[in-house]
Amino acid sequence: MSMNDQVGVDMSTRARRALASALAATFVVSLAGCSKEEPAAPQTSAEPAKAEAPAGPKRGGTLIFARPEEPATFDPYLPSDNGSIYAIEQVCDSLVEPDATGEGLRPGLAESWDVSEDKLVYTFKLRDTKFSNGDPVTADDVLFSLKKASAEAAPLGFLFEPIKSVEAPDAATIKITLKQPYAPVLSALSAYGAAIVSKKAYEAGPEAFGQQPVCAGPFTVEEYSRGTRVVLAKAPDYWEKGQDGQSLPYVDKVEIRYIADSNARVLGLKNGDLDAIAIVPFNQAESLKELPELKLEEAPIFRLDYVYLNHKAKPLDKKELRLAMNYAADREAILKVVFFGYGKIPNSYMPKVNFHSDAVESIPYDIAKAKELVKAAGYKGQTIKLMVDTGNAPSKQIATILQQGWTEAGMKVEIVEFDVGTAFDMSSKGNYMAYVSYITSDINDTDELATLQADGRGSSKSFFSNYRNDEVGKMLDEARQESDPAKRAELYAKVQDTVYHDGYSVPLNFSPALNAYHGYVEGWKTANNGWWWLKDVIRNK
Amino acid sequence: MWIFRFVGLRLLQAIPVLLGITLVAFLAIHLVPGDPVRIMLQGRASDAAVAEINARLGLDQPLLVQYGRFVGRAVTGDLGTSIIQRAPVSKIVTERLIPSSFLLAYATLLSVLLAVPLAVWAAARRDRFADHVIRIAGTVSFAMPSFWIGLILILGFGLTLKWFPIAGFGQGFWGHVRHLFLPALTIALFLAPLLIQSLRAAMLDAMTAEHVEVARAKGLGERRILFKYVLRAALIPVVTILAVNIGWMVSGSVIVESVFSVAGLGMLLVHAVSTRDYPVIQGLTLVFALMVIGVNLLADVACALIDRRTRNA
Amino acid sequence: MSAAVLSVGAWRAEVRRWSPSLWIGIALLAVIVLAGIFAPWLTPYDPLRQDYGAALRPPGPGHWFGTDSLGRDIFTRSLYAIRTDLVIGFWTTYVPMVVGVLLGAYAGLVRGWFDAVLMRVIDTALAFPFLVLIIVILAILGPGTQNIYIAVFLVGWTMYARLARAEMLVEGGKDYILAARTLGYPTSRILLRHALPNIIGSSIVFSMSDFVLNILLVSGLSFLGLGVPAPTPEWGAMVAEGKDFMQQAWWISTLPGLMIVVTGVALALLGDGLTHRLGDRHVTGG
Repeated sequence: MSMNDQVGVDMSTRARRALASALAATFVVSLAGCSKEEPAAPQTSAEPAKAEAPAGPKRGGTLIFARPEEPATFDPYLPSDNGSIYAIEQVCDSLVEPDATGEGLRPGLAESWDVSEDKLVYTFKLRDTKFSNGDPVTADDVLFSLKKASAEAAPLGFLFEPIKSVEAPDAATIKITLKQPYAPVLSALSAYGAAIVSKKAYEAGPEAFGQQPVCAGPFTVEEYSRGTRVVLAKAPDYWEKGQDGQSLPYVDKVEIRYIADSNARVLGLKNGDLDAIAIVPFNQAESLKELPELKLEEAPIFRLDYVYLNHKAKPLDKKELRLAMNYAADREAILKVVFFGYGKIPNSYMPKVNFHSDAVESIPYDIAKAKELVKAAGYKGQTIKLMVDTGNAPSKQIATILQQGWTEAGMKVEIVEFDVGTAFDMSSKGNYMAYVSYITSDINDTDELATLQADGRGSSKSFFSNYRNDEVGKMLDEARQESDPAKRAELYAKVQDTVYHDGYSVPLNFSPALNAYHGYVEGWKTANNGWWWLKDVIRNK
Repeated sequence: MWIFRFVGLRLLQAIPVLLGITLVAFLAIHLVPGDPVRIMLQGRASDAAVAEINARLGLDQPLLVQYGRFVGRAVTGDLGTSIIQRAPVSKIVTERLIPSSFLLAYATLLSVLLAVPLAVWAAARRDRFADHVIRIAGTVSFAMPSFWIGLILILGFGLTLKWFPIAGFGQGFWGHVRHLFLPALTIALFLAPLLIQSLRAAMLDAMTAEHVEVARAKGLGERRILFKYVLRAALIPVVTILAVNIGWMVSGSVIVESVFSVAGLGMLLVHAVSTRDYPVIQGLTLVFALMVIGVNLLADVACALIDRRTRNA
Repeated sequence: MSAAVLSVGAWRAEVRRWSPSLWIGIALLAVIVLAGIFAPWLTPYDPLRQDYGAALRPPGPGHWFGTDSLGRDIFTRSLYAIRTDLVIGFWTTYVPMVVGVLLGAYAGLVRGWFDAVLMRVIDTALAFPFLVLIIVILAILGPGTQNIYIAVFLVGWTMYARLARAEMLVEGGKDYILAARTLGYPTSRILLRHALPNIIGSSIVFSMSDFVLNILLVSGLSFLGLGVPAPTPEWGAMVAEGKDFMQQAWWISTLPGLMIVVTGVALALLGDGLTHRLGDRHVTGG
């Protein structure tokens, strides 16, 4: 029930949905045309502990790590919650994998792949490797897994909608044919929902599989006690090699404890009961920094905390009023008292991904100007309902701060609480006015979220905002077809400027993820997608 | 055997209540405004998925048929499948039953350990200084919200003194004992005053009872009397009070488990409510009520046994 | 309890029979109620006004209870919260009491099928842990003050009905009721005029501990995030707000919680005193 923790809860649901809708909506190929895409050599294996002595990294040991969420299941074709996804990422590999930073892709269970000239056929060469039960990974397993992944009921099923067929010409080759060119297909195949599982094990009983998965990832599940912990053991012969030339992971075991209470996590870390913790509450970060034996990781992630506005809900249909809400939002105060200085006041309606422009001018805190705008909007004292998630203390604080500023500017504001699920459901159905929430992206390409959030022609209605500006739509189309990065950047900057100053939303903070660990934990890395690569971690103690 | 007849009679009497609680648990999923399945799936469901789950949960059947099925399945221990955790509710609940039962037993033990000496002392010094102090302390302790006293204990014994862990269930028996000490103490601080109050009253009654006066006349020492007659007579009210308050203890444990992050039934309930996992809420409602009924039955049996023995003695 | 108007002399006699705990309880409760009513005159601050420059100030002159993470004065918020908690506590205690006593007394008087059905309903309701039932109802209705009222109204009357019925069964056999019945008085008259004054005592005594438990309930629900919405000052919600700041700023959680304790003690003492005043009956909550 700890409050600060909930900042991170359900992030992935949103991220996945955001990503998924974006991918589904984007058919235009943005990759430069070349038939053979040999991905850059995996840098990850060389990445951890570069600074280490040449003697080679220390192997073995049990890493004890605490996080606030627990997995609901290890069945990759069911969940959409962080607790499950981050755990599945440690246990199951897909054909393609995100790289260490999460900004690019690298080979996974597919060693390499070819793309046909017309960008319709992707041919993957399977890696010669084994599942945790010793069975080889075969094309048959891949066919089975991708079928499960693209089932309608699967949470990421629609990501694979543009796929026409999946075939296995031989035991080590997979051929995927698309209905139309669909560049994000590789990203889609790297998602947790496209993990490759052992057909035999899964068919023996999906429920048992959810408890005891048989995949080909770096770890296996040794113990799974609901509500308490998961113990992961090093998989016997994981295909990826460490810098000493032997199989990853470096540690023998990882015990992931579920400790929802942030005080308890921080105390456990300080006591030495825990080696590492995820989601350090912002208010305790400073106290951890003072301890020399601990390291605080401030990981930039693709995340923007902002207030969703529903442009269809009166009186928010008036641009002047939405701008007034922006002028009367005391972001300095929010950054100071809620985020304790972590993050940056945003000048955009979306997270800071590759084509972000720093040149766009941000809206200052100016109550006088806000009052003028409220008047200009013809506001007649309608109550603005500001929705927050139940039990999310930071969101509540943000809402309270916003309420004060907006009230001062002449608006009437009421804070309403709903549990996360209901609140998100209401916002996705357009049944809300304003909602303190956030968005995250899994992909470092502005196009995805820009399209999702600002292109009113898409199915998500500009990510539930009902924002529509045809000029923006035109610019987005142009940017997608433009191959010159400089010109794309220029167009996206213009989109950013326009959408932001249209009062699309009330952006609050580019907030980072805070994790902490002991000095002897080396090679710790949080990907921009939010999870950590435990296979690369060394416990040097 | 009279005891079997006694238990059998009690079970018969419990039948209408059992039917009542199954009805309440059943209705929990049906009184939800709107479509519970859509709410459960948090808007990410296709129509096909909704229809499939509706069929799986039998929500497309007439209400009476559904109720019959629900009771039929519940009797065999099948409580449905959790929407969020994707596992049978009975399994999830059973896993969570252990920490909760441990916590409740531990709290009962601590409150008896706290209450008995204090009640004896208060009764022995009736209307004297110690009696008043114990009563006032009890009143204050009763009025302390468990979430608050829990936080104070965390601050004092956990964060500052670092004597006890402040969250979790721990590993192994002694791990549980160490981890659950503060949570159990929190519940005990609420329960002990109630115990002290009725124990004290029962002992005062017993002290003036006829056979005690007789013993006293025979020249038995006060200490002997206290342990031989008075404490034994006070046993029944202790058991009764504990049983009557099992409901409050469980209520208390819901909040205490949240404060101390103990993965028990209470935390499961709060979590299930916030994620709208209705099958779990439904199953928990049933299990909690069964716990209360079960404990009361046990207490009745215990009281009957004690009573018989006291009378036979 | 029976006479509606007491003469000055009768008042004096009445007051003289008050025990110390009744005295202290009444005095303490009066101070709390008055502090709630006159809160705006007792503090210079606005309970909702945030002052980020004054965030996380420890208790001291100016801010007796310190300030929270938004720079709001905790003493001020604790005072205004009296209005929230005491009012909700009052209604969630006395509305169910009135309903429960009437239903229970009626059942005890007429017996028959009404009594049988009512008892089964009560047994069922009491088989559930109270908080669990309330949380389940809130899960159906959604959180919020209004729904807390509905949830407690649905469940809270049962204990009173059981108490009143038990008393009624005893009273029902007494001469004055039998006489009234022989005279053919209507049931409502017998119930309200004759029986009620004699059976309500135990419910009033119980209502005092029920009041405490209801305040604990409301603050507990708010602590869990199912109660009174922000930014309304409420003790349980304030304790929850300070939870993550325990190490840096102990006062945010601790001091509003202390207000709950003081209020609870006042009501418990009052209940204790009433028990003695209304005859030495042992009533325990359960």
